[in-house]
Amino acid sequence: MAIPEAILSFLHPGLALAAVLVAALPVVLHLLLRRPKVTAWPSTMLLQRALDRMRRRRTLDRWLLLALRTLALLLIGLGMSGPFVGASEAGPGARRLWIVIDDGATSAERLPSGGTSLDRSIREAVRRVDQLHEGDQAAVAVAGRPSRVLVQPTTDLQRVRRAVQDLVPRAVPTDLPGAMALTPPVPEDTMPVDVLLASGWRRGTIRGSEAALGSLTQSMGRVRWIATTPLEISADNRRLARAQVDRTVAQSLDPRERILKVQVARTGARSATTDAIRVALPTGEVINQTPLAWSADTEEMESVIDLRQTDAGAATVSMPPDAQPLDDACAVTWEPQPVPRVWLVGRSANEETVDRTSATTWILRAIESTGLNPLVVDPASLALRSQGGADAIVVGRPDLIDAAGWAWLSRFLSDGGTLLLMPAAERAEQPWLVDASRSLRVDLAACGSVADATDQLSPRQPRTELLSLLGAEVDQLAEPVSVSRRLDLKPLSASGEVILRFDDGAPAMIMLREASTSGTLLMMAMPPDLSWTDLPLKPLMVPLMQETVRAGMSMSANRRRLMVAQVASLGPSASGGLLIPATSTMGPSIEIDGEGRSRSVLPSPGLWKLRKQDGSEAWYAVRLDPADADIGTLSRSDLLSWEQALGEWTWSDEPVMPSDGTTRTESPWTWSLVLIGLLCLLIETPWSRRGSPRRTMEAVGA
Amino acid sequence: MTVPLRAEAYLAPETLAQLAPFELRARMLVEGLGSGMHASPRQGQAVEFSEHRPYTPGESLRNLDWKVFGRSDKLYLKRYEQETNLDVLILTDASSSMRFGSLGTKAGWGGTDAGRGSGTWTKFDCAAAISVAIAHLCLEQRDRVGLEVYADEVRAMVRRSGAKGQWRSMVQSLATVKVGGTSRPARAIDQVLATTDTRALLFILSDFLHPLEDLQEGLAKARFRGHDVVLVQILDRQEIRFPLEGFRRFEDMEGGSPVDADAEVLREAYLQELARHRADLQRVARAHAYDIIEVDSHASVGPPLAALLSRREAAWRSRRRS
Repeated sequence: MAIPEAILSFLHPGLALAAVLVAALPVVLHLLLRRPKVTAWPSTMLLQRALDRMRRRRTLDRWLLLALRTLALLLIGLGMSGPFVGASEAGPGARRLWIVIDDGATSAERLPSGGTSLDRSIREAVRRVDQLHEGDQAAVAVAGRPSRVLVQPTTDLQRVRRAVQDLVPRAVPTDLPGAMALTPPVPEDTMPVDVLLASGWRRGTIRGSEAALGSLTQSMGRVRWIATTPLEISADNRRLARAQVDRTVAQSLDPRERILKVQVARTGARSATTDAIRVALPTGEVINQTPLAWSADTEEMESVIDLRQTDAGAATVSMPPDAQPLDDACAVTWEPQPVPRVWLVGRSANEETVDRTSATTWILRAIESTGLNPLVVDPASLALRSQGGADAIVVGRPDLIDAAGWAWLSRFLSDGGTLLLMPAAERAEQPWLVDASRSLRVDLAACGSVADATDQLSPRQPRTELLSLLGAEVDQLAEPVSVSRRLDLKPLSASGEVILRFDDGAPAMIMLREASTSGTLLMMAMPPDLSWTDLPLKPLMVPLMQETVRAGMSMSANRRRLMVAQVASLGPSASGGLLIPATSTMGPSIEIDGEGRSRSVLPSPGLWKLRKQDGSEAWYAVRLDPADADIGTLSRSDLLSWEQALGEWTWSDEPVMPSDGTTRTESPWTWSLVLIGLLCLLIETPWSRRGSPRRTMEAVGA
Repeated sequence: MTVPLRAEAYLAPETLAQLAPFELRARMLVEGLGSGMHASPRQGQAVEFSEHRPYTPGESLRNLDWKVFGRSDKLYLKRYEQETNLDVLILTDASSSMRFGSLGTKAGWGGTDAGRGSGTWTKFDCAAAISVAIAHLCLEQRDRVGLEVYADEVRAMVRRSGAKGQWRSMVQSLATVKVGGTSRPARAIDQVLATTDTRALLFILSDFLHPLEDLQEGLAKARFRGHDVVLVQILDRQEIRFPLEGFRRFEDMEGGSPVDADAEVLREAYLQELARHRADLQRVARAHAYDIIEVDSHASVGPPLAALLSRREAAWRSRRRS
């Protein structure tokens, strides 16, 4: 298709014609009405001499003045007539092209015709650049998050071409609105800009971006959008939908017992075929290769891989690459510690009888019986201990923890620990909730009232990830547990997940997740103390404590999954550390700042090792959300919301409409022309009047 | 038609007041018939002894100082200075260019033929005012004064006289003379010289907007005849500043070629040419040791005349002391 080129036209041609006529008026008047005013003069001798001396200069001045006056009128008239640059097949008017190119995850799609979706976008971008002329400007922004300007507006078109051709797909989400927002706003009185949106337009390309379009449109000014057409091929693709290390019931017998659950899904052809799932350690060593047999019409499959033999704590799961190679692999991490380290914060009193046994002791007995080796820590000494010694902490006597202790627990939680709180059995009032609320930044104080109530745990408990191993058995285990006193946790139910519930529906145990921390905070409405509940004597006690500790730790470990193209928040203990990629191809190491955040976004998915200042190390799995790499097809109508939001939209395979069919956006010359015209008038005035003294009228005898 | 004569129109009180402190004295010694205040080179009928000088054989013995000869046996002649009357001749240019004026006058204010026609204060009006001021001053000093109004020829003439009605005759002549034609100063000077056998003080009042060769020739003749000359150049303020605008056709009032020009464009060059012309005129005057004053017709004539008389008074006293 021939490339349209910009020519000058007018929003108000009538005004332009009028401007030309007005501009011609001085010339006509000058030529036709050049009748001099007759002035009697004593002697023209001196005038004639003066005239002879400066005849050439006089003529030049007169014509220059005429030209200046005419130019001023012409410019003002043209400026007011609204010149704009439209599209036409003729005319080499100066143009500006802003290329927004999608180098995000969906651009890695391999096309049947060869090459990737990005290669197709590059070809279109280069074609557009090749059609520019000398003096035209072009710029490039890439949409892979974080979107950025690759080449600032320049007339060096060769440089633009090279920059585009050097692009490779990146395993990051696409942020087209972000890249479009980098386009400099185009003022009303300047030429419009052509913005080429070069993308394959897959489902992952526009995922979640519609919301950004509204504000984008308002800030963009006058832009003419040109988009590459969406890929219409429905590709055969398999993807790792989920890969997670899970615990098994047998873990209480063997701490190294763990499994890797991998879910795979496919789109496109559903023929019977085979695949293989490969698990590799960070060192590259393949520790497992599990065949996967697809039967016809199967869309999803799950495979369970035994990870008992390795304590590496991290691995990469992958499948053979296909149409979308970026959704065929993901990183997983797990807690490498064979035996979780549990601290019980409390004190054992005189416990000669069952009635006088403290909650701390009941918890200790429950955890010890599951193969864990808990350490009883005095609440007063908590703040003196170093972080990193515990994986989970159960607090039996929160009333004895001082402010420093709560601050210590806050850091523990931020670093990914599992913390179980419960009321102090020894007190009716629970003033510690205020301190805890302040330090842990959770509104525990809202549930400060302790009420006497004869109640039981509900026989229909919610199904939660924390107690998932108990399955439906949790109902039977909970039913016989009665409660005589309890804390009202209802105010927390909105912000947390109810783990256990009383018969009246009120929460008996709740899990609170704070987005800023990777830890797990659990709160019970009653301590395992016989003055509050008979829970310590019931079968639920042991599995509840065990699962709370083990599953809480597991969930915290799972939270160490980070998302690519985001800043990693790793907790205060990581401050000053370094995030090191498993392979050098993933990018450079990233420093962790004083608040535990990475100084830059994570550039690529995979395994990253956090090396803390104290020398300890931990693996983090950085993942690309498979939805961001989704190469499901989009039709042009699916992009209707974009088209409507942006107002002007032309597909690259459509001929660009001439000026009548395009948005008539005023060129940047409008006010420039008017200003230059006024400037001409400003020059004209002193020029034409230079040397003229002010006339004064006098009269003899007046 | 009888032209109303308004003497006060030409001799405003402020002009006389400015001239009163000065006496009109000729820088050169002039011959006078009467007993005036001007030094006469004639020393025969002397009233006041001046000096002695050695006798040269062949000279008349009439002024020989016999007393000195008796005492010293040396021959010395006595010389005397005699106060004489001054003949002042005023030559006023009445060519067409003198009709020019850009300063309006009040109705019924009087004036000359040039001023009445245009209702403006013309250069000729200004020249007439200066002429009668000088005449009045001379007559007050019992000097003889005459007037010659000229253009391409002599248009009007008032013979030299110190009589009482002389001043009125001059005013009458200036008020009624027709102003027009081209300016020929040399011819006017020739005519004056032809009728004057004594040395006199000549005032030539004109705009001198003509080639200076003609004037230079006339001045040379006057110098040769021993006359003193004062040139009074009278220009209108519009000529001096040229505040005109727009494209104009300048038509020469003396019949020269018209000039089409943008006044704004022409201004700078014109003012340069005017300055050059005035400098040339001064050079011509100084070449003959004559005085020259420049008068703006919009301004009072008193100050420039007072400056002239003051200058001449100082020069005369200096010469007497020496």
